[in-house]
Amino acid sequence: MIKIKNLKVRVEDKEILKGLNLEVKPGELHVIMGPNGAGKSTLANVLSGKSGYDIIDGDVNFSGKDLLDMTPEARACEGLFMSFQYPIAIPGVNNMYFLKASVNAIQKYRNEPEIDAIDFLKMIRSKLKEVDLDEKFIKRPVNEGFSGGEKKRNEILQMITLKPTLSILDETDSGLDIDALKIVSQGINNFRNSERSFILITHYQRMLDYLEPDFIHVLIDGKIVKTGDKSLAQDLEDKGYSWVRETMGSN
Amino acid sequence: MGNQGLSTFTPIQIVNAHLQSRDFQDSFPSFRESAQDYFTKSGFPTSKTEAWRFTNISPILKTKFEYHHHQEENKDQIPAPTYADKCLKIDILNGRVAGKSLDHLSFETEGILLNIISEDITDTKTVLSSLVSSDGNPTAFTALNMALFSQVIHLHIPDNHIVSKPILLNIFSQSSENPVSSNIRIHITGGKHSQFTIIETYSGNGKTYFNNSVIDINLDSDAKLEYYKIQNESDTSYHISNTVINQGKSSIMNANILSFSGKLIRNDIQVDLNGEGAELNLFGLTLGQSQDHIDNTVLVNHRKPHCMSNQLFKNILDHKSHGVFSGLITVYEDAQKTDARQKNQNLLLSETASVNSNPQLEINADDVRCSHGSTTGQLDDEAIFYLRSRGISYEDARKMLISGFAHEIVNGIGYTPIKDSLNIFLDNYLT
Repeated sequence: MIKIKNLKVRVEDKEILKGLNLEVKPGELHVIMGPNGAGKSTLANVLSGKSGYDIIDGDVNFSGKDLLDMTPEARACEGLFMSFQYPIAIPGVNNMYFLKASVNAIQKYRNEPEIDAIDFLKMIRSKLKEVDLDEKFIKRPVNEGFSGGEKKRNEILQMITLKPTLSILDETDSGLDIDALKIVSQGINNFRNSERSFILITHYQRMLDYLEPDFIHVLIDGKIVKTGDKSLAQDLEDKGYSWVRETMGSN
Repeated sequence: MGNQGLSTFTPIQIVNAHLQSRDFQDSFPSFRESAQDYFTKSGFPTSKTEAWRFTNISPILKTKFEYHHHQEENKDQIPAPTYADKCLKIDILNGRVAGKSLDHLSFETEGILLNIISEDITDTKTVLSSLVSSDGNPTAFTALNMALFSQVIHLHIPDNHIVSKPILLNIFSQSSENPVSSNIRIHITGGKHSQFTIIETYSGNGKTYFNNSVIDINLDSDAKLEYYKIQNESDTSYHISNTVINQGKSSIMNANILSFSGKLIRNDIQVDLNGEGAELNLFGLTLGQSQDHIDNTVLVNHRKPHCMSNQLFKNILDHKSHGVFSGLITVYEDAQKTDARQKNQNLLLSETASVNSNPQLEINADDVRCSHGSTTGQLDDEAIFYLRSRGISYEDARKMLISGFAHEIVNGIGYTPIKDSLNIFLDNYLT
């Protein structure tokens, strides 16, 4: 699905990612945890094609193609999706209009027929139920006046509508209450299958109560320093990142 | 000088000739004198004149124009908006009503009194004397108009009349060898409890010309006017207009000023809320490109209690275009319980586009609610990235955001054919 090799990224004069390696296979859910400033969001932004990052070394192969060579829109059309940590509000742009434009841009890229307004509305109604959002949300401007939880559910709505093969979820759990966390997790679980992969970036173990991750990675100072199974997340929760640093030191 | 056909003069030459000779004092003597008085005391504004700081009119003053352009019976149809057939239409070519295309009967059927007063009609003084409310406080351009207009279009909607079709003032400028200057003068009065729609559209044949219009609108108590001004002028044209609106008790005016092109546009809009409970909604959208210069200068005077005014002017400026918004709300001592809002938002699409924004409030009453504000910015990179990360191309993302910026104005337009044509303008602008 995606293979990241020796990725080194600088922001202004500071090296943030210092040779990161990660491979995610179809159907896998990988969790990246790490302290603030470790480079988690930089990784998500670089993968989705945000500007302002200077890639100094390494390569990223996504479904057989050079990901770093593609525009952000091409990456989306190739099946990559990022759920934003802070989804931006776009006044004056209707959420449904936006989502339909998005679906049809991807359809067009894949030489598939565009979806008309009626079929789209039917489809979106069923997706709205999955993330427990009222129909009024798709008639409002994108994310405008949405609560934190509504914004995140709107991200998940986009994910299950666009059907990406790789979803990068950047702190999707932050700002969610328990109910919203359950709904979002449910949305992800229902969407999971043997073809679809996920990279979940989080600070906390709590979302993992609802998900079944294949791997937990610890990202410290621009590199993945430890990889384990679900129990690693609990260890981190109990012992903190200093514990990882100490074990690194003792190795 | 009146009928010398192709003779051309700059506005300054005309004013000087006017001050020196009595040739201009034809059948509107007292009004022409008021123009003469103005220019004897004051001249044209300069860049040092406060109200004209951001708009340089010297290109107009230097251009030689033809003034008394007596068109032949127009052989060709005057271009009109697509929705013209749904309207009561008055074609105005180079400042004069194109009589041939005017369907008087349709106005009569709707109960509208339409009176076109031309200089060759004598004994019009009494009619005119009731129509000059806009000249209490003349400016150089209202005085110039006063000196040079050759026709007054007067529309009156009688009390309690609800006009079912919009009234379309289809103003077209057609220069041939020389640039033409038109001094358009329109007086509109809405009787008590009348309801009507006015659409004032400007366009031209692509050449240089100069429209100097004075529009005087009087709304009696409980009258309701939907007003649209659509400026789609040639990109080498000059347009100066003074629109003076006097609102009576509990009258409602919903106005949209839509400016799409023009080399130099200056809209002076003055609204006097002269009756208790009057309501004004005044919206503006400018789509500036190439070297357009578009200036909206708006004065809103709250003179009586319990009036509401709500202004929103949005400028979208590309290339080397320049936008100006100057707004002053004055709340007079008597105007307690005033609710006045004024907002100017500017979106600059290029490094070379620019805007001057100057919203002002002057409050002389204590129990009022007033707000004003101005923002200027560029397209939000974060928002563009968000849309692109969902598969939408950079170009489409940009269009979506610009349309989103305009949406509040577009969505507020009540007359669907204008909303549709605005969307087409916007599409063309974005392509």
